[in-house]
Amino acid sequence: MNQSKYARGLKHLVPKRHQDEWSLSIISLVDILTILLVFLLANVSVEGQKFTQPNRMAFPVSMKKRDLLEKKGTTVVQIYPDRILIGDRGIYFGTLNEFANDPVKRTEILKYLQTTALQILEDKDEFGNPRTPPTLLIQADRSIPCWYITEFVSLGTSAYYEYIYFATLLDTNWLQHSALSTRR
Amino acid sequence: MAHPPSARRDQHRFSPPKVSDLVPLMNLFLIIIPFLLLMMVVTQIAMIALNFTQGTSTEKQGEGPLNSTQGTQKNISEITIIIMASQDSLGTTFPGFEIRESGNPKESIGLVNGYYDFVKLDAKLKAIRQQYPDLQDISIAPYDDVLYDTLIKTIDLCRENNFPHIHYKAPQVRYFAQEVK
Repeated sequence: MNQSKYARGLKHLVPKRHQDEWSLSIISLVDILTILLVFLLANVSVEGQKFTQPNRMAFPVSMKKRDLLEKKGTTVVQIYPDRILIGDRGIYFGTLNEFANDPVKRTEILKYLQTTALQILEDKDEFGNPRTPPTLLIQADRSIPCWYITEFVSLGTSAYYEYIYFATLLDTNWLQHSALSTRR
Repeated sequence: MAHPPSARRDQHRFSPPKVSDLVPLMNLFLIIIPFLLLMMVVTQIAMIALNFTQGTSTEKQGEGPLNSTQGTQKNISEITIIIMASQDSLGTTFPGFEIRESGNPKESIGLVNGYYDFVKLDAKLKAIRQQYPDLQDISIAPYDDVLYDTLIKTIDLCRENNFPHIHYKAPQVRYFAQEVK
């Protein structure tokens, strides 16, 4: 009885901080977010975005990963089933049908590729050699007929491009999947 | 009699510690992190390099640095894989692969269950590799209506069988006019 009376008497001495402890501390959350932020900043490359799979395009697959050679001046050609985009900014160069039937469109594409390749070749080192050999990276949907690919390879070779790459997705087991399909 | 300390003095002593305002920082994080997650590359992109050859192999060679071996291997057979997707009226083309090797009869690999038989092509390429261990060049000639996916898989199989120099050819269709008397 005496003890409880004493406790009641000291009630006003209990610090208020004990009442606040139940509230959520966001400091640990900020720590996690900081770590996550640093990790993401270390892994995200703006340059790498150029070589990722574009939206609404299904790449064909290949078994091994072979990266682009370093120090290349790369021009990207994106061949969708319904449109053709060229360059880093994805300039629209018409549909596949226009590409096949309109010589003006093809000339425009050739001129653009030539201009871009020459710009890359103009960047020279101290010995007068091009710093970055021009490279054409063809990103095409897997359903595109080879005629368009052949034409773009032909345009690329006509436009001073030394290297031509095809963008694919990594799938180490596609041959096994293919074997299963043919056995059915 | 001793009096307890006044409430005013206690208020100062037991006031909660001052925490800096983290809400603006949280807001910044909540904007930046979804943006970075969107930019993050999840899929693994592979690349296939190409040696380009237009027309037949003797007509025009690409000038890329990878195109250098064919001239040094004139005593070795030239292998060409022709990829076809349809059958013509004369029966000269069929859906599938045709492997042409100089000095040997051509070999045909047709579709199985409507799919290209990459397993058989792989076996054939392995046999060629055993027959010519030093051969580095191989040519691929897809017809216009062949899908890009089939072309890439064929190139990939050649790479897997240690043919580092793959030449891209466009098949030439030649028409012979017969003189009518």
